[in-house]
Amino acid sequence: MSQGQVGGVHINHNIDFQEVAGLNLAHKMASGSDHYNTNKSEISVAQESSINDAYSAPEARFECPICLAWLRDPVLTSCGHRFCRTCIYSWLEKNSACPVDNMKLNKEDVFPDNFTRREISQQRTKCPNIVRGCLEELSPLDVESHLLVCEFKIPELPDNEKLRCSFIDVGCEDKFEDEPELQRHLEQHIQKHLTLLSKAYTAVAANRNAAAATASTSAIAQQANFWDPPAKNEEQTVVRDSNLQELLKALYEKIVFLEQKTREQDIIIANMSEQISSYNLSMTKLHQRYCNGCYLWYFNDFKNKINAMRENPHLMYYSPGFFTSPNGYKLCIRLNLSPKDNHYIAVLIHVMKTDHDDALDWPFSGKLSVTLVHPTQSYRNIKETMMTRPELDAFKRPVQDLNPKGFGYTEFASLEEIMEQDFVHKNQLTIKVQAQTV
Amino acid sequence: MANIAAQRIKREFKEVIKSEEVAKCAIKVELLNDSYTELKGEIAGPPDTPYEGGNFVLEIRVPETYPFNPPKVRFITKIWHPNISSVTGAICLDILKDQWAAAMTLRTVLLSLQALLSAAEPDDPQDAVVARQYKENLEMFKLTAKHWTNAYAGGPFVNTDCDEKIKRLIDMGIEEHQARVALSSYNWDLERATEQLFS
Repeated sequence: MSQGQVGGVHINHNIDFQEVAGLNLAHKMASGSDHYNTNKSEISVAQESSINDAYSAPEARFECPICLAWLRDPVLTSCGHRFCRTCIYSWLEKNSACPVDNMKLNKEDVFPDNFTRREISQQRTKCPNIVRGCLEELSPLDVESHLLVCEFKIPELPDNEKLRCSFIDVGCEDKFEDEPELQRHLEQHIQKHLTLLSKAYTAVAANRNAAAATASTSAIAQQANFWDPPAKNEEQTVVRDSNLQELLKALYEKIVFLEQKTREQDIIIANMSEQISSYNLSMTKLHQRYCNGCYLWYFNDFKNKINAMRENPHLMYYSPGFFTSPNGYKLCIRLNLSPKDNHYIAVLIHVMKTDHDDALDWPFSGKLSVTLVHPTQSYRNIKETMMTRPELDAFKRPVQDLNPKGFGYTEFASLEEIMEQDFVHKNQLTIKVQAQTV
Repeated sequence: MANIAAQRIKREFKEVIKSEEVAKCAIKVELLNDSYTELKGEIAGPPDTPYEGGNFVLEIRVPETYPFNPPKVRFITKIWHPNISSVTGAICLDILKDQWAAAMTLRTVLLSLQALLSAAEPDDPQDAVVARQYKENLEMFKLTAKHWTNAYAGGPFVNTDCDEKIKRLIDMGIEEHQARVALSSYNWDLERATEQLFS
């Protein structure tokens, strides 16, 4: 890795070399101190990680270096760079060098790249409004024009106004930053919204009664505006008034019905998720049973566990039990700090009791290898192999659920080494054990 | 604003805020208006230079013809550097002038400026006074640049000698920045600076 790191501030000049080739500074960056070594591979990583939203950031080979959008009418230069036709022509109006590598370039050195044009025309991307239900599949070049007319686009809001809950009319004052947040709110607060609706209904009903009592027909007519044009005379109002009452009654019945249905669905969902979690549990057990003696233990929450063990030297962590073969020996891994020197971790293997111990030969005899797995550079893996010894208690048939004696290394690796060489990735250490019976 | 310029700045802005330099606080970009024409940049002073530990704010104006013409960039934070005007913050850097290429981005511009801070070009100066000091008395230049980084960019290096001399001039009724400029221009010779200020 060629990064400049001096003192506390870390500055990384990994400018693509081509990008600075034409500059005064270029020679300094390339030949100067270590800080300015260019590094292509890092650049490509940075670009790839930004492809996620395919519409806004095209893959590097389909991107025009000038407009940074999908290549439109792609052309290829004699120096091997692709641009949109209009982009490179506008650039060459006033300049006569390639914008990427500064090589001499004229309009005659630019050719249509129909291969790339075909490749881009075969690309299909989903409309970004898919979350709101637009199912259009588009060429990436058409996305922008489609977005202008897409019937699922978010309605334009006044400046700085956040999304409001759709139940604002009945008194839900919540505001939201974006659409998904609003959706979540609507899903989570069905009860609250139903209560608000029923309150609003009661209020409307009370108003209507009061209005009827004072015979204020014009007020009723105003309230009924939502459904029908204003009344022309008193007689009609009375007829419509009873219609209105019926409508509200029907709506209220529907609300109650939906409320009950929601409760039912909630119960069904809860039962199903319980079922799923029990399946998941038996799935992991299956995996441990059929791992054929090769088990990977992901020791997560590494820092907290190490600190806990420092505070309490008797604390030990055990892996779930795994089998050397589907009906073989059951083993587990133990990890703790070495009792002699708590800068080292101890890794030991314990034999565990199974239902079919009668069918197995005792003591357990075989080859055990323990590997500390490096997350990225496998040549750094620390691997130790050991043979079982029949005279040791550790390999005798366990009388308890777990044979209290283990076998392994009390000083397997130092914590310093583990941290320095970055074995811990996302606060997780991976230990692999391979057990072969002999 | 021409559509292509706004579109491109929008995309670049996304790119730059995701870049690893931003993650390491080496560079930063902020939008100042909705039309993507004015931005605020920030670069960290490179290590092992007099600018180390300082944060330098830049004004970035994106012309309608971007990216066919370079963005207009100047330092808002006052800085003592041969290629940057100590008065206006104007920058003398080829890629912001005739060596601009359309494939360059805000990110590469900011990184190039950071490189300029660690590799001055005194033969192509923007500020003749600073450039002369750089060529004739490099140690004095470093001391002055460090002092300016401390005074304007939040750098950690405090020079009590400089601060005292400035205070003497302030006591004579000179404004602080004016005092700093005079002393910096005369290699911190209090007498000559005073003479120049009152002549």
